[in-house]
Amino acid sequence: MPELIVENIHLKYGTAEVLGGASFSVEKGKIAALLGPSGSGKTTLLRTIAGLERACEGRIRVSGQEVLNCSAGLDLPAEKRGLGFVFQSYALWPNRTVFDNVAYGLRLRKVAETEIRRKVGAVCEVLGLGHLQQRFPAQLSGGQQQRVAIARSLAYDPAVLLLDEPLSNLDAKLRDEARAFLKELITREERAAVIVTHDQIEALAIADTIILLNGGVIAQEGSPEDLYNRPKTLFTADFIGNNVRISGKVVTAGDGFATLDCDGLRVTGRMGQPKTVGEDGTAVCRMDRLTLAAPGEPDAVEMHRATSMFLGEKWEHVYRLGGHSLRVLTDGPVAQETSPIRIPRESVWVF
Amino acid sequence: MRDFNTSALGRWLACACLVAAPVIATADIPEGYPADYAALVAKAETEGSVVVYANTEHAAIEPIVEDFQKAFPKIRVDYIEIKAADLFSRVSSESAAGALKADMVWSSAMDLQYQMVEDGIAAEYVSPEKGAVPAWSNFGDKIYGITYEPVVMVYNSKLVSAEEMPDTRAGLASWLIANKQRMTGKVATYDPERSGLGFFAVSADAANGNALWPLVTAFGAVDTKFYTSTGTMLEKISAGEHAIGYNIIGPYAYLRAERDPNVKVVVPKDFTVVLSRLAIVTEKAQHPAAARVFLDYLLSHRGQTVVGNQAHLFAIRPDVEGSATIAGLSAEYGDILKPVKIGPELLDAIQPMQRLAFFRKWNDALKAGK
Amino acid sequence: MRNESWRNGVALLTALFILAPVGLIVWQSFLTDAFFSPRAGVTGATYGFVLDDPGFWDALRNTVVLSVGMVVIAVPLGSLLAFLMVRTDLPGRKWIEPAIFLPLFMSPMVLAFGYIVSIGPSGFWSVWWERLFGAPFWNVYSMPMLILVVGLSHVTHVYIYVSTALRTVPSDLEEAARVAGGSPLTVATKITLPLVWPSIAVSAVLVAFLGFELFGLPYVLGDQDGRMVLATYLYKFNTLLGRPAYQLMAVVVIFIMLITLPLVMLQRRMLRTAQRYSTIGGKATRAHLVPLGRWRWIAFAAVLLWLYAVVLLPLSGVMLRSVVTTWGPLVAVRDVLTWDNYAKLAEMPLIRRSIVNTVILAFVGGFASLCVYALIGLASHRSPLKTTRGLDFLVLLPRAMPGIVAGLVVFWIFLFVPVLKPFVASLAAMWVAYTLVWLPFGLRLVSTSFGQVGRELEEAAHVTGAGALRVARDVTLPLSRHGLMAAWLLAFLLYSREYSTGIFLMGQGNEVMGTMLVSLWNGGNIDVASSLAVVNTLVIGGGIALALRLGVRLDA
Repeated sequence: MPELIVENIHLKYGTAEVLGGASFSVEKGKIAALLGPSGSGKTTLLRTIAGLERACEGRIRVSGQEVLNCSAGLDLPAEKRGLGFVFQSYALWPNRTVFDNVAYGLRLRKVAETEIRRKVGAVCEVLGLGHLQQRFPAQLSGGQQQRVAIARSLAYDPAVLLLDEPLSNLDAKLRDEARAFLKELITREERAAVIVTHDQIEALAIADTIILLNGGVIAQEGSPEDLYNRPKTLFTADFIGNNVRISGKVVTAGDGFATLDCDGLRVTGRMGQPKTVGEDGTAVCRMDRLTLAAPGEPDAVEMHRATSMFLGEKWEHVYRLGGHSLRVLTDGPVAQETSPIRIPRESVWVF
Repeated sequence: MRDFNTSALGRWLACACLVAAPVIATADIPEGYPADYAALVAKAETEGSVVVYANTEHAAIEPIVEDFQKAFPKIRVDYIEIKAADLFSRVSSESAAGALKADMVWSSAMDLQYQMVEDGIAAEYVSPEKGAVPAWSNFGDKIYGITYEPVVMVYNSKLVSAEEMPDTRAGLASWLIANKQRMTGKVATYDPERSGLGFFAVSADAANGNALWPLVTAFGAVDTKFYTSTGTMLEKISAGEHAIGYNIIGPYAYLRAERDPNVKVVVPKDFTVVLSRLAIVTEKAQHPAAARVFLDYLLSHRGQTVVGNQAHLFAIRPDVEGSATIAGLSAEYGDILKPVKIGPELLDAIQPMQRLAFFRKWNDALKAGK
Repeated sequence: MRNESWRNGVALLTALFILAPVGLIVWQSFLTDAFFSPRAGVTGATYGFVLDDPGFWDALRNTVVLSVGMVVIAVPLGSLLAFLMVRTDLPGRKWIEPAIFLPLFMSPMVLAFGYIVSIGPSGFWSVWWERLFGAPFWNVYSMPMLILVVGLSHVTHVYIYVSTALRTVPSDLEEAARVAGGSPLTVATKITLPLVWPSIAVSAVLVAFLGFELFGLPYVLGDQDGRMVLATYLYKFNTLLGRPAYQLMAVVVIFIMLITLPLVMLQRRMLRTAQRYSTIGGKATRAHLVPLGRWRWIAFAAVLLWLYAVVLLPLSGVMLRSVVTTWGPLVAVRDVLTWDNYAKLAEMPLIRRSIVNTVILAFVGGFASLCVYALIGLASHRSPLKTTRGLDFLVLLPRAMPGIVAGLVVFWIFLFVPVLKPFVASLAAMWVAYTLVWLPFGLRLVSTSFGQVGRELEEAAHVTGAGALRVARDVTLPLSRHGLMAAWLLAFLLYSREYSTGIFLMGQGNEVMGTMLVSLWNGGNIDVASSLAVVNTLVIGGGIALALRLGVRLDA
């Protein structure tokens, strides 16, 4: 049985519906990522699970224990749900040392002082904070603060850990390290974790399941691979990956593939939904799959090179045709003014 | 109160008392008191204290309390000073709630004091000193006049010379008109609308003939300034901001004159209204015996000596000598003194309709001068 | 289940605390006599009486003029002062800053009397002026002068709001404007101040509102010409009809409430907008100061001139009065010089007791009030309940009650509620009245500092397992302690200077300096009154100095 079960959560601010029936579950040792653009309700959903927002409909169970059941009038306050929560801002209490921050949950649970010392020591050790216990949060670096926030939420052994954009305040290098560390930690400590992020790369990397939210409802839920390779909606296709969107008219359709004509630029891709000839359509192309086509290769379009930039490892070129432009990466410089650009149909979805 | 004995002022006053009243007895029964008075004093001493609500300024009351303490060391005086109108509010509210703390209420607002008699707040008590004070100063043995305070005019002698300062209302009215330029903005008096005492004093003026109204018209002519407190008026007269103050309560005026040689007091020669601070012992007093002992003390020769000569409140007892006494005043001014009669007619002053009519007449007279 | 009942409980008690006095006033306004009097009957004529009185309309007109005048003077000057202090390299900012707050804590009665002694017709500054330049051009009792005095003395109120907002605004825009050659004044009026206009607007409404409840200054300076504002007009009914006409006073209080209510609502709405705006900066970045250049000393002189007008001028008057027996152009100061006034002060045991009582009431009572405000503040802090939000509005009602009326009503409540009866005329009753009168002010301060505690810091404690009270104890209160300390200090200072509220609650043993001052004054003992006023100011000054030393920020 999953550690965390979220069923049909509805939440309103006044009359505006913020969550319109979100459901998902997380197993022990697994990470679910709530992904979505800003305003999609992902943080609100996380806060609802924690009990910091009040749902008007739905049920939540933590370790088999019901903590929210709107129809039964049950709504445990945050402090009674026994969850761990890592805030985007880390929310470390500036007036307490690292030790006191981490020990707080144990103190509230009236754990004996020697036991507290042992447990906090252990958690801090795991997170590499052993030597920083007597410091104040303001004396720590961003990465250290993040780890204190995690240590604080782990110290009292919650079964479910909720993390709100925990990596967004770290710089790029630290973020990569922290991501790997976090994933390993959660698996090893056997918690069920829900992590909110707006960064699809982060979600793809860290999550066992991605729950993609749009406008308060779940757009698609599945493994990272599923979402990347089998988007079910235009929104999913467009949100995941580094894409370019091109709109046009369907000229051929069949065999699961459709071809669009976009002011002369022809693009063929998988049909995300059934399409008929003459209909309007939108193609979502994975930008990183575009290449310069070798002669005779399929799915190629002749385009004009507008500009080139040297990025260090690679070259980036902007190709134009009509009103459309595509960016193509190559290993070396390109001399020709026009080239055929390959837009592989496996990496294009038509909706 | 306790640390008073150690203070310098306290010692000084103690010496002064010794000089003024050489026969300092302890709580012995004074002469002429009933035989059972000792029992009253004993009861008062068990009560231990007397709570007095009054509007007389602390500085004036200190010598009285000090001397009383000496006479009755076992009876503490808890003296609470409140402005006249607020005093009335407080006593009537407390009384309505059945929680009147005051054993004695002593105030210069004669009308409001009488209202308390009317409201059944005052207790009847025949003081053994009753015979020693003027008969008119007590009404129905419920309310006793303690002081004899002339209402006077005050001027600053650096601005108005003694020769030119008029000493009658009619004289003042015509002099002000004649010196209109010089006196504009230089005259101060009570605002009868905003000061209960002010109204009481001018309505007593009005009751003593027609001299008041031409004076009010003259006030209008010289743009007289109207105040709510004696203190402010005397302060500004002393500073030269104003030259003449009309209807100033005597004790304050004399006290100020004593401290500032530029301030001179004129007792109006046509007639001088005399007010009295009236004391009542409350019906529901928690220290009834102590209140009675304190009242008797205030009326006694010894108490009146302090009231007149130490507190400068003008003793009402004819057998006390000194300038600030009824004897001293009468000797100097005789018939012109018109004490306000103590009795139910005091209530006329607080009839809203009569007051509003008076204010209309007052304002018309003021306007006539402008 | 979520237990929010404690919030409702606190809200209910607070509502009772406020509505009992207000309700009593409303009831009293419809009676023919004191509510406790057997003569009292129900009537609506009281309203007619007040509305028919031309004096009421005069007072109303004066009040409106005064209040508008205050806004016109205090708002631009206060905003400019805030700009100078926060955004420029004005010289001497460090020691000017505490001085800015002085006008806030000088008892208005003392202030007014000080002006009379210093620049009144016989005032000593006036006399010097006359010797040098001829007759003074001002009249301290005139309406324009009154407007000027109240306007200048409320500059601080505007300063507090605007300076707080200015600290959150980034400074690069100003630098750009200054580099482009704008004068500091242009930068202030065209660039910086428009960025914080919501705070300026809020302070304008506040000042207008304060104009309606002004008492001390118009009472002393308007006394002689009988020029009244609503709050002083009200007192006329203490004596006008002989016996105090509580019903008419109640009617005037209700009118003041009705008139100020829209202002209160306007302020609330604006404050909400202002809070939205104030989150622009969020982080306190070290602002770069606008160099004033040659304007430096002009601005400095202007600030000094203002301080001179609102602090030195009146204070010098009171101080001078406290060491002479009399004053004015007719006497030479050296002839009347004396220390007697202070000696008398020392000799009156009552005065000593009143000083001790004041310090106790201001220090301990101020802290107790702070606790009450904090409890109410916590109950409505991030509360989802409608009841506590309603409270927000309710707490502003006591503001419309002049201090003496609040004191009288609290006195009545203590008197006529059986359980409270034994405590009437005690220091405790006085504390209740003070707490009520300053509730809107204190609560605003407390809730502002609670609001500054990051929401997530509290939520973090919640999810970690702490209930509402634990969160308050462990997170909200410790993290807002600077704001709370400032609120305590303010309570201390306001309680030290308070004079009208305690009049009815004074009993043997609980005299306070403010009420002693008034009774000495009314009794004509101005010698002692002025030396006591100086002591009062010293106590307040000591409070400020101590607080600043301890690192309390007044505009936290």
